[in-house]
Amino acid sequence: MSSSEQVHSYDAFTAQVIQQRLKNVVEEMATMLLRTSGSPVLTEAQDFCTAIFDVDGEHVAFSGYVVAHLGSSLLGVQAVIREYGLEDISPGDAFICNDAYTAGAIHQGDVGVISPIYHDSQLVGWAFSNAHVLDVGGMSPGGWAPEAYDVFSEALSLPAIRIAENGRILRDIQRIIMRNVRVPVPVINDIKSLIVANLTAERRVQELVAKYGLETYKMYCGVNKELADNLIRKRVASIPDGVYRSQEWVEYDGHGIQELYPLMCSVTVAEDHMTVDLSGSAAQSNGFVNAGPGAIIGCLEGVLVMMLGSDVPVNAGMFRSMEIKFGDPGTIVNPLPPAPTSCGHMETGGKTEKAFIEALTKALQLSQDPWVRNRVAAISHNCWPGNAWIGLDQYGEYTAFPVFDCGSAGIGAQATGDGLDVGAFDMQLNNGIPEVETNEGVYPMLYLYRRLHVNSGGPGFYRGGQGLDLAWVPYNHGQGLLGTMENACGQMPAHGTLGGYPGAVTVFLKSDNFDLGQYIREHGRMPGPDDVTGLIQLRNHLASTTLGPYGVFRQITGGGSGLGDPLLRPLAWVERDLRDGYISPMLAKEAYGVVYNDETKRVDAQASEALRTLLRTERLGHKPLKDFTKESPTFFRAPLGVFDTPGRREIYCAFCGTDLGMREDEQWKKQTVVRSHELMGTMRRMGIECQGLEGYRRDLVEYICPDCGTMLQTEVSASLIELAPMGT
Amino acid sequence: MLNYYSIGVDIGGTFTDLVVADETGQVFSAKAFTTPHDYSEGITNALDTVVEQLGLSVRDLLSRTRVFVNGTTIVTNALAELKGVKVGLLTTLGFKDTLRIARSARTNDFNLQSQVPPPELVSRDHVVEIHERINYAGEVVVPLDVEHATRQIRNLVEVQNVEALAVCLLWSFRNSNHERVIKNIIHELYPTMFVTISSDIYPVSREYERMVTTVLNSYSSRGAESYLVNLEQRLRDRGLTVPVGIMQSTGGITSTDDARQKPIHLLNSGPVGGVVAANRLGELLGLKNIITADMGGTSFDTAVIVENQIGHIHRARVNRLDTGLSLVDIHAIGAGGGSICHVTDQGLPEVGPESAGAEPGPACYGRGGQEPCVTDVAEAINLIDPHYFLGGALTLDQERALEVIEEKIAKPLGLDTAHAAAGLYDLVVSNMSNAVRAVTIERGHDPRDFALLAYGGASALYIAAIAQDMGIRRVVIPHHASVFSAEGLLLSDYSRSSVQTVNWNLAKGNISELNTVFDTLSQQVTASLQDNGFSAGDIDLTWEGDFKFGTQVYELTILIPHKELTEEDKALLAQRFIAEYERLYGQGASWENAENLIVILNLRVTGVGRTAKPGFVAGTLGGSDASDASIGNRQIFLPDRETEESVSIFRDERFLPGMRISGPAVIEARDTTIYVPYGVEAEMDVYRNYSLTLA
Repeated sequence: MSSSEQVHSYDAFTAQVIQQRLKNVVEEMATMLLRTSGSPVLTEAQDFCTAIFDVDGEHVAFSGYVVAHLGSSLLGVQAVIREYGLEDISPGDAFICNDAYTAGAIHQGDVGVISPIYHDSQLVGWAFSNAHVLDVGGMSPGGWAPEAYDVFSEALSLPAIRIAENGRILRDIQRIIMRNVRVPVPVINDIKSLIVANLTAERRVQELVAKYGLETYKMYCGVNKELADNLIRKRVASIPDGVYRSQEWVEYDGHGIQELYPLMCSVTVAEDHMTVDLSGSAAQSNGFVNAGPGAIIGCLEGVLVMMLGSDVPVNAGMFRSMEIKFGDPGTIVNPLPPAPTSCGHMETGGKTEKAFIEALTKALQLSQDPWVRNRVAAISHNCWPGNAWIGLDQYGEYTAFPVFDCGSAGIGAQATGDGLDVGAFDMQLNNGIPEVETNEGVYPMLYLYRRLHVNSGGPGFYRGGQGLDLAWVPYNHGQGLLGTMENACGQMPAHGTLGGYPGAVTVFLKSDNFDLGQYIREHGRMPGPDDVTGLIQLRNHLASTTLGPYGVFRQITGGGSGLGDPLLRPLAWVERDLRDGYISPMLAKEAYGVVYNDETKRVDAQASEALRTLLRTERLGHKPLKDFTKESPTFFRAPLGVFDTPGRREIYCAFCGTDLGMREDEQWKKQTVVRSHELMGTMRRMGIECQGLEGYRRDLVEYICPDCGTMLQTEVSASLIELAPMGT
Repeated sequence: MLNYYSIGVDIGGTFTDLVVADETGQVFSAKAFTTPHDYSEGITNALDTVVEQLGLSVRDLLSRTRVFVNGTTIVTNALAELKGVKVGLLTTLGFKDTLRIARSARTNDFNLQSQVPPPELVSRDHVVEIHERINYAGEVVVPLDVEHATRQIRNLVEVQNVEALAVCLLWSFRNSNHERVIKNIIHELYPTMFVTISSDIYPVSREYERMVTTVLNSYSSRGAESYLVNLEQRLRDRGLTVPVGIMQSTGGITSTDDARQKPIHLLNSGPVGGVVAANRLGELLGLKNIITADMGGTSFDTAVIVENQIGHIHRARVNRLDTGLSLVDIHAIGAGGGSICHVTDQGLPEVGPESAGAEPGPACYGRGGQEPCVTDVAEAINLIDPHYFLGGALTLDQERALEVIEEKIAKPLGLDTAHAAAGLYDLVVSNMSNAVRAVTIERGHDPRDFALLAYGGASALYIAAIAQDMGIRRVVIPHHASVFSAEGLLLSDYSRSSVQTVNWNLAKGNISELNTVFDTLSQQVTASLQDNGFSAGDIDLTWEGDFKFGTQVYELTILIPHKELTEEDKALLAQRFIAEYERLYGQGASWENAENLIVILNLRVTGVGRTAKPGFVAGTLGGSDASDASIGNRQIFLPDRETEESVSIFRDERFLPGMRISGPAVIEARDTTIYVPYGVEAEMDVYRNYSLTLA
């Protein structure tokens, strides 16, 4: 039975008014948090979230920001109900949690506060706020521990316990927390801000219930969930039934051995229902990359909203048509304690999102509904290469500071245009990075430069967004600094989709012997990216690295991947990118088949067309049999189409019309020309940043239309040869 | 005896509104279409109309005018349409991408397709990097390479043909020497070139906002220049002898000379006249706390006045650009008469944000509009007399309004047309209430302590329902509601503002540092107002600081006593900040160890040059029997009752001060229609304003 039949008689206007009011309330909670918090984690990186639940413990409003909290908020509320029971909960209570295993947290650094909402002493729902606080104790500062072996070394664990009673913070709990974190005052201030935000929600929901009456309010919470469910089901139903697969690799080198953990994702569409199955993913790690259920649910539900439901307010109804299979316990996506989890959301969680978007994009391109088909997307770099430092500041005081330039990775290309530059994680809505003057004013840093990372967006009909390239020196009178860092995407780039190519990866580098003063005296200017000598690449997960008096720290963040065959990108767009210095002439030639004259700042159209034909010929091993490029569109078109005429083979090339065979299990690939290249060599030939990786073989595989030479799909793969220990 | 006049002209997107006040305070008004090819034409047309009421020639009127104030959307439009001049930008080596990086342009929207960079004001070829570097303390790390800078400037002007220049170097608000040297080089090479340096226009920390502000000023320079020169010339030719004053986005007037140097201060100045007028009227009527509600064709604008002080927002975001501008804090939502109503994919009705604009406009205009708009909703339930819209200037097509609502809303939702229209009416009211909540409740104000002051053509149809929804007891709809913004121009003072980053810790800092900066800023502001003819005695100075705790990035603006500050004043400053903080965020919300963490980020001095203003003219009470003002009854589908009833209709022109009616009723003026629901009483006061009282 379709659930739309369950919605009987309701007033659509009341449904909309209540929905909009609840959305406003979660936004007002967010405003309260942002204005009262002193933590740059909230105000710059916007690492927080707010939500409202109904009495059933289901979302009725969600503010966005860190989207993965769709999972942690849901499991957090459930944990409070499970542990205390409704009879032991009273007005004025608030509960606090940060544990992945017992309370669904996405990692320990993100602390959630959950408050029951009462109206006339009757429970009417729950408020949830969450923020990444500056420290949660454990072996490393800042909420993540790159070198921990278990959850006990990572942080103080809070398994959904009462933090306030009768509206007052409980002194015992406050004292435990303050004694266990490195910066107690800002942390307790942020916890206060979370309680304030929930109080706001309580007042607003009470007003709403007072206006409409409890029964009506409850009924419309239900109506809105049903309507959201119906919408998503309608969209899923437009996708042909079948199984759509993808694979990612979680990276970890924090214990001195470079490892890749395969992450398997399949999306099975059956009528208006979808099953996402992560079975078969790698066994859990003894490093901090494992993602608990809150992170996995949040990442998958977040992607679902972004891809199929971003036009309506979020509520629990949107997720009813999606079933999640975590596979057997004891894996990176379904870990068992005491496996560490303090970066699970950004490592395994981030890769889960990438895999889900890739599989979903394969499915969406075959939809019969043009709106759904237009939601295909390339993959964002999805890396937030955190780095935090301790030492003396320029004013002579001891300081510990995170540098939020990490929120700077490129977004994947969209069906409507190039990916956004400096967009951070997909899951991090409203991300910001601090201004140079803000960082230099407060922290002991002097930037040499901070620019866009040229060539970092993956090539495609639409190009991926670019990351940043920046370098700074410690600026504390020669005292130096000690740093902790984590980079989730150093070895496996964002995969290109529907014929697009991968984007650049992220790299940390440092030099210990660059004399800036001497450089300035000799050259009369600051050094640029090519002028700093002695740079060496750092490990991607590192708990302590020193930056001495002649030290330089350089961070290069990666780009989003490209969407569609780059040989179809209009010449004028490539020319604009070249003039802007967005891409190098080498990339233009190798990836886009474009010949550029650096003197005249013009693309040679004739030579470029000839080069593009040559590249298609190279792809096929012979001249293309069909040429549609004269009518090449200036809007994005997905490369595969589905015949709906009985008797035809199912899949055809949307550009030249060639039959490609059956859809199921991507059998159509057998009809294509397949080429495989070593990944790093191919990327570096184009001028795109890619780290080396010992012990594994990595490939870029291309699937090409046999008749017109159009790139239909590219894939990235990795296989183990031999695990390699590494230096520091 | 010769009469003297004051003239206010508000150039809006569609109409140019002109208001003339004589010495007795009597007000005359006229409307003309706005003429974007040459805005002065619209003003001339409005002048030609208004002199008929005065029985004067335009020359007589202008030569007897003592005050002429203009509010203009020219800078707003140039930015909205991205039609500025070709700007060359000079910045510090290593930071040419600052505008594109845009501090990360992600928004809180799940839709990745909507994640696009902010509008590009400077082409990448026109951003050049200069060899120089200053550090956080204002010390020179790399001296300015003058020869290199000169080459770069020559290349921008002579090869790239840029039309204006902008200079924004790192830390220039701490040490402006490098920017000043570059400005001098430019002046020597190209004396007529328009140049903005960031340490002049906005000497405040955060290079992205400062750069955007600097670039925007140069970007809007030529359009503002030619507009202002042309305007003054035309008016002088026709007899005006006094200088023209220009309304700024802060709600104060400035001179045309100053506006030509700092055109960016005119951005978004359009709606501020109405807020100023609302405050003056509030003062007259004894209303201290006011929420303004201005609904026109495309948007609903609301602002808050507390204790007769207009609220400002600093570091305003305009057209997706983060600027350092200070503006009157007006919250706008896309809910005007032309906003389109539709049913979403989810099966729920929604109003806006798309608008049918002036063309084709709502379906009932009969100009080909196919979508049901907010005006169609009021027309469909018979709130608006189709033959008396704009006093009968436009006949509305009620059938058409009913058809589009039936087709696009009622049928998809399975409702009859009247109920669908009534539901849409409620939805419009709910959207507006949410906007009012955003400026009141979310900023720590209880709306029940406020009066609503509603102007603009469309507000009065909804305002009583909004007040009911918010628990507000008093609503005022001013006389001349549709030219209220232009009237506000006559009621405004001249003002100037200067700001400087100090980043001063209240516990550790020396108070004399504040006095030094305040003195410098005060001198700048005073000198600038004296240039406009104000003597020191006519100038009021206000001192403010942007306060925060430690690393907080959201500051609160707090008033600081205008006097020689002493160490003892520190306690007062701390107390004012903490009190305001706890008022906004709740008692006990301020930080642990609060007194030691307070930082004043910026100091701001605002100077006000008081002008002579026309008063409001009081008429005499004309009795309480309103039946003389009635023109009969009309069947209206009351949205709050969801039933059709016969409702009394009154005409504004027959209404006399002192008359009082009870809802349900409709009062029709030439430029607006007032809906008075059940439970609401309406009375006309001696100034011909309507005062609505809610039970």
